[in-house]
Amino acid sequence: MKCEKCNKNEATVFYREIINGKETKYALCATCAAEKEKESGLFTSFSPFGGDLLSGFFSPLVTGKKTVRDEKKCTLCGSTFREICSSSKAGCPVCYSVFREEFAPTLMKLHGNTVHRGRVPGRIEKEAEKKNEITELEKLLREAVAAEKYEEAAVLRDKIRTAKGEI
Amino acid sequence: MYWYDETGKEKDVFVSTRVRLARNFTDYPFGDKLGKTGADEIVEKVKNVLRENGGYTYTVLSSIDEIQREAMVEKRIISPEFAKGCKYATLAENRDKKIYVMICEEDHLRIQTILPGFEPEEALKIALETDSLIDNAAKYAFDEKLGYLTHCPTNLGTGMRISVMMFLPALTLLKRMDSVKNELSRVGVTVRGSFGEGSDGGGALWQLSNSVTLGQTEEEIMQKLKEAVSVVAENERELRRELERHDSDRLKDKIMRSYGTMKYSHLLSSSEMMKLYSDVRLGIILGYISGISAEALDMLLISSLPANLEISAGKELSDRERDIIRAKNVKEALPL
Repeated sequence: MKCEKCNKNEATVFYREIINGKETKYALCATCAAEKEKESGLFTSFSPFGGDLLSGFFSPLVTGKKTVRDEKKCTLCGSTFREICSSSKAGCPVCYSVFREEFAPTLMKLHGNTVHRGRVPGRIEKEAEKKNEITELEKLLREAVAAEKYEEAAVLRDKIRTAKGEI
Repeated sequence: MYWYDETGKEKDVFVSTRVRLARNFTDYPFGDKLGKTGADEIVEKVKNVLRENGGYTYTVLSSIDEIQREAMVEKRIISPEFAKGCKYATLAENRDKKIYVMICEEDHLRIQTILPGFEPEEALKIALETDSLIDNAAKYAFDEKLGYLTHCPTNLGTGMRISVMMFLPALTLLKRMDSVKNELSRVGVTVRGSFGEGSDGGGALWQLSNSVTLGQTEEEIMQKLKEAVSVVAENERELRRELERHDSDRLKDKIMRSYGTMKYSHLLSSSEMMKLYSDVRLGIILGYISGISAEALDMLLISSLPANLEISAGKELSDRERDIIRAKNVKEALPL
């Protein structure tokens, strides 16, 4: 089902608003849902301990028309997004990738439009360094080939293979 | 020695500083979904790392009595959630370095350091050093955009909570804390009472901590908190001076009457102890009361809390018995 607002992305967030007894339903994609949140100023006081507020945001119709059997499950812990909603917590680290789009509006509300800055685990840093090294070696390889320095190119090619093996 | 019985910087206002880092390992579920096997593997992983660094003792929470767990909560070295919920929880404690690592709490790992007085840089440094040790040996769950992945989405990013326990008797007495809370919330600092339920500062003790965990570096978060709480500290000190300028006799009278009650009561409840503590501690800082240090009074307060009191008495106590023993212990600890 397409998002009612942009008509481009898949609708993954379903709202049901009841104001003065009048019910309105929306089916939106993650991006449009986040914008709607900002516009209408809903949930302006978020409680970090708010099972109520957070799960209220997630529920009630998030998984829409899909049957229980069709519901997407996390590949590590088997959680559905419905379960995550009711506890307001992820089941495992992989949930954040599996349900990246579904999480987006909540994370926008909690943390704004920010990305992580600061400390990075050692292995991630090493991987990033290795990738930079490989990029540099590939550049030198292209230059060596262009200059017809084939022996040098062969050495560089071997170095690249080793470095790729290490990631 | 714990944060409450050691000297530290600026203890006239800052009782302690804590840094907590939340970390999880890839390939393991969180919380209830983590079975015994997974929990045992995680505990073993962490023990192997810490063993090489020496000085750690381990407590499996399920193997100690509820009262002992409660006593640890009163000492602020574990969280109430850790004490209650976690079936497989283990605490790794390095008392010399003031490091407390809660294994299998809400997150797989909560690295904590609690230092006496005002020590944000040092507390952060120690926590990050411990983090590096474990990082080298295990795979942390991490996402490029979301940072360190945590059970609760509110902790994503740095997974860092830095807080200070502050003694703010003047701000509390003059009912300025609501306005302090509002001001601080605008700069990303939350305020709540350290003891007592709800938002009231029992003993005029308040906990101020960062609310942002994602989008800023650890250093930035620490600096922002440091700046905000330094302003609060200066406000408190200025208000104390004002109270003295305005009517030092009345202030001294209030303090000394509280001291007298603390010293000579026969029955002393926990809540009354909290009220009197704030007056007496201020009296010590202003120089009206001598013969006991602020740290000694802080230790007296912690040891008079219900679970700690019962453990030192060596038996289960009724409410009445607790009030009698508390009064007796306090009388003996206070100078004439």
